[in-house]
Amino acid sequence: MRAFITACVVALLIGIAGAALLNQVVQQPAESAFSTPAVRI
Amino acid sequence: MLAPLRFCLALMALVGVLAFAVPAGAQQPSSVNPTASSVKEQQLLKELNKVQGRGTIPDATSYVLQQPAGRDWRRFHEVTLPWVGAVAILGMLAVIVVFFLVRGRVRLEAGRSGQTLVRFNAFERFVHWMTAVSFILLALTGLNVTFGRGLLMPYMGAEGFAAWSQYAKYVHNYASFPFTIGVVLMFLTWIAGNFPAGGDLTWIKQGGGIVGRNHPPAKRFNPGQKLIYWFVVLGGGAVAITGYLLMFPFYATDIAGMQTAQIVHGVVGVLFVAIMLAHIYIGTLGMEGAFEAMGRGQVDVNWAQQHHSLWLERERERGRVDAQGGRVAAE
Repeated sequence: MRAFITACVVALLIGIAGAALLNQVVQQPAESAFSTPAVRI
Repeated sequence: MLAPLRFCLALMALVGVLAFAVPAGAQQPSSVNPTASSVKEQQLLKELNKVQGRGTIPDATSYVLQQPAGRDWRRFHEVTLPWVGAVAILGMLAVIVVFFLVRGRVRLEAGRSGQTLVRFNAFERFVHWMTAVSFILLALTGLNVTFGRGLLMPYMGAEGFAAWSQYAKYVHNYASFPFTIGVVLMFLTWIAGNFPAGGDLTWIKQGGGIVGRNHPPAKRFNPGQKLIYWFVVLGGGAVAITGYLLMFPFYATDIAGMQTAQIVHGVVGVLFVAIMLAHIYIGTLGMEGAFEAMGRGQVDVNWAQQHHSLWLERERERGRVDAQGGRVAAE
């Protein structure tokens, strides 16, 4: 039972860490995919 | 005198207008010819296998307007995959129900000895449960992608289903991390006992003591468990790699690669669910005393004798089982 609860907690922590990594470091705002560095006239 | 002159001028003007108007009228149909245009598009599709334009936004994949392989892929994930998934999962459930009704629960024939030995230590159970919990989350949220619209949306409504699916997708993404780590740890922890060994064929021929009534000798892992192990390692590796390709679209592959990744992810995913149903059945309802191995970490000596006699023998040689019937505590 202790191994099961530890596994659940660790899985949750790894998931949260992964979410933070994805959202704050890797992922870019959606707008950046549709923007352009060029100037439109 | 003036009347004939006016008539001549009017006639000349009329001729002039007609002379300019006829070529313009003749030119009109050839400049706008939708049929010719679509033929060119079809030719492009046929020759280049896609219709691609140019753009200025960073997402270069958006420049591809049409590609015929996309239709095959759409048919796969809207028709083929749901059928494969339904047949695999419902078929497995049907097999389990029939098997249970015919064979019943595999009982401990000699009863309980009261003496136990460690089957899986705390770390092994931790790795198993972390992977299992992550897998259940991945399975439920993954099946939602394939079956949710048909099964849940009629009850939840479009908005409710959209909100649930959005959170389900987040959970699917984030649960992939503990699952992947768990698969790697499982691979490293149990690989030594999962290579084919002498006696495996005998075990298979005798139905592993599950199909028939014999109890062929087995080491720590029998061939059935070895199959599960290698499916988890290889199948888990496949869904992890293809999943990360899908999570980071176009980072490491093109459109064809994305479609292949989704096909592999979908097919292996539904097969994973079907196989795990059998694994869960045999580890809980299907076999008396089996769940204790992953629950408390210990099994009864009679259970070990019945299902893993070679392993029990070795554990006795190592002094991990008290020959006098004493209890060997879990770690």
